[in-house]
Amino acid sequence: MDDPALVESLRAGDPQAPGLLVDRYQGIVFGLCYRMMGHRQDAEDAAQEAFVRALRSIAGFDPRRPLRPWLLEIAANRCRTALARRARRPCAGSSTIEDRPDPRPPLADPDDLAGELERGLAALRSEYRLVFTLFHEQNLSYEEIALALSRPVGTIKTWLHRARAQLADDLSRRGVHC
Amino acid sequence: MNCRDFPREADALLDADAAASPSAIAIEARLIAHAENCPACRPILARYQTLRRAVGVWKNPPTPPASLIDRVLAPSRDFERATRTLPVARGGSSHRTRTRLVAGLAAGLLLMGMTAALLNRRSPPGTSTSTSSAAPEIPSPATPAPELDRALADATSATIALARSASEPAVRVGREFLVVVETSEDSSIVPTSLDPIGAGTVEASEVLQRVGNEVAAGVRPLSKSARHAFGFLLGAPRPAGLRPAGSNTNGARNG
Repeated sequence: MDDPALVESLRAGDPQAPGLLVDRYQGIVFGLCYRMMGHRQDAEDAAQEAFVRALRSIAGFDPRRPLRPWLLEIAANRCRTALARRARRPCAGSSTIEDRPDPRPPLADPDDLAGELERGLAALRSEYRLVFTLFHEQNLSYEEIALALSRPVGTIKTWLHRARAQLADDLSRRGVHC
Repeated sequence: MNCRDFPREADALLDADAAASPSAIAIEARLIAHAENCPACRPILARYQTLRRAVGVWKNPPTPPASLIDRVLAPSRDFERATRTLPVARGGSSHRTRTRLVAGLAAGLLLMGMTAALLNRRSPPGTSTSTSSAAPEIPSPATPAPELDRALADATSATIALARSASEPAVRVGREFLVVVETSEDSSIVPTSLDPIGAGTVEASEVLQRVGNEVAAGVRPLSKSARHAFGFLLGAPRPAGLRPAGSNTNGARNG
């Protein structure tokens, strides 16, 4: 079933359709939430809220529009709301670090390119890190990222370029070569 | 390609990789060709090549928990159930409006009941008791609460009692007056049989005086509408010729 048919099924009240929607998009929605929230439990909550909101407002969705950017926009809005709520709490930053356990050995392994890249990502500005992960990890297009983050496409391109340049420099500085 | 374009081309290479585009090969060839002749851009290419390989092995997106589907579907099932229970609820406002309407209806009925009970207490004891016991119990299907049923029945009883207590004296006095003026050639004499109070003949002026007293007591005797409404108490309709001209109740009241 393609996306327009899925939307029609949702609108028609097909009891199987919500499960199909979640099954199809939970990976990308959760990935976005995880990268925005930096916290697995918060990401699960945000993803859940995003899907519930989407299901409740599916009647007003234009089926000619692509479904994925719409879902990502809802998820990003949920994440922004949760982040704003978190920022109002005291000790807001500590949980982000604690909830990202690093299972790798503490010493850098030059052969572990993925691990080195993760280290470099952790040192990036949050906007750069988010755009980089959405593009390279979640395979979102520039337009989808722009829609999800409510930024112009040009800004997204600039952020991604800077993220790549800084990561490349960081890897080189730490002696990671291929 | 010049040195200024080099980072942009390196970006294009990573974009092409992400899109699995065949143009990646051509872009990479151009970058290598420039770097071979440019010592400034050679380390840049090396850094980007490292990043490119790191990205290639890095993709390990976080996996959603298996329970996410259940977590999502449970609230949406609750929502569907709720909207099925309240089919007209498109938002909070209609539900609130319905609640206010029901509350307003209940309050109105309660107020009616209280008013009726008060009026019942003020009416003559004999009349009130007999009429309220004879009043029909009207079922109230729209108000399921027993308190509202009772209040509505009380209000109905009180309304009937009030109507009877207010209209009976007027009908009685008016009937006397009508009969007197219609049956007597001499309108100053009232027949004994129609006098509900005393025996023997009664002066017409006394009847009028009595009517005046009833009016002063708050009774409206025999207005035109009252005669229409309570005409059945007068018995069989009279022949048209019996009603004399000038038998106007307003004239009686004024007299």
